[in-house]
Amino acid sequence: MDQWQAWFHQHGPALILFARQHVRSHAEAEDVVQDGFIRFWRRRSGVQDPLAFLYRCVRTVAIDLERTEGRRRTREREAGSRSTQAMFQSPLERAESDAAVQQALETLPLEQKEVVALKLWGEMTFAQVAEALEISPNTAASRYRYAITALRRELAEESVR
Amino acid sequence: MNDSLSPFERELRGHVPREPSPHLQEQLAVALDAAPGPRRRWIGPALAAAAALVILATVMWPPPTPVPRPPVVVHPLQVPPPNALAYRRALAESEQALDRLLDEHARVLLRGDGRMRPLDFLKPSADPELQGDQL
Repeated sequence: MDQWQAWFHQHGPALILFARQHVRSHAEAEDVVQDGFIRFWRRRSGVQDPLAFLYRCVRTVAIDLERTEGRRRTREREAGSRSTQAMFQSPLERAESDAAVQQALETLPLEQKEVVALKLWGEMTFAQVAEALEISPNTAASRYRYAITALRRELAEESVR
Repeated sequence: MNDSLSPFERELRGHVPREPSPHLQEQLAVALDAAPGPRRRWIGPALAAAAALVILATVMWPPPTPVPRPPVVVHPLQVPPPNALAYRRALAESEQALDRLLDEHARVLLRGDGRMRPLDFLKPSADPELQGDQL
């Protein structure tokens, strides 16, 4: 197996999930990951933390896409539309739970969603999260704590409903 | 910063993100399998440095300005000026001497187009004996 394939096999699902925090559909997330991964692979030489750099590349592509499609997205947000495509692999017995987590995630501000995706599903340290997002580790940890608290509250409320 | 996860976080992590589609992997294979390895990082700076050197050299050493050619100076006449006395002397010497003098005057006095140069171009000889009547 080629080296890039090993990287992609290991990180692909988490990369898609991370990209999904920026875009609305799985297909858009794949486009973002494709461009970001290619950029990462061609520039990875000499990078201190390749994993953080990989996510940074994907994020840069996602942000560029958001800028170019900003108007459309703003209209969609104003219309209150939410993604209906699943972020998680959902076997039947977990479909409801997966949907609840996705819905709770979507209530978070983008900067918190990014940190949660990197920390939980990217399995990165706060130092890596910080490097990927170009923020300080303290800021990363702080955002993560707020996000987890909000998710816990949101999911608790969801279970009561 | 504590990187260990609580039960709630572990439960969240238990939700497995969707797999990328085979199409994405195919697209990556097209882009990456045919492409060369990571771009050499020194190529960009090296090209930039070379371009900067060229610009610097152009500024520091501009092309040499053309040196103005000295005006064409026809040397003053080294023969007696064209006057009657000079021709008489030459004739007294020999017919060939007169021819040579006439040739020399023609060479100096005639321009390329066959017309005569102004006579004030000629430098009068310092020899008082050669100060005859100008032609």
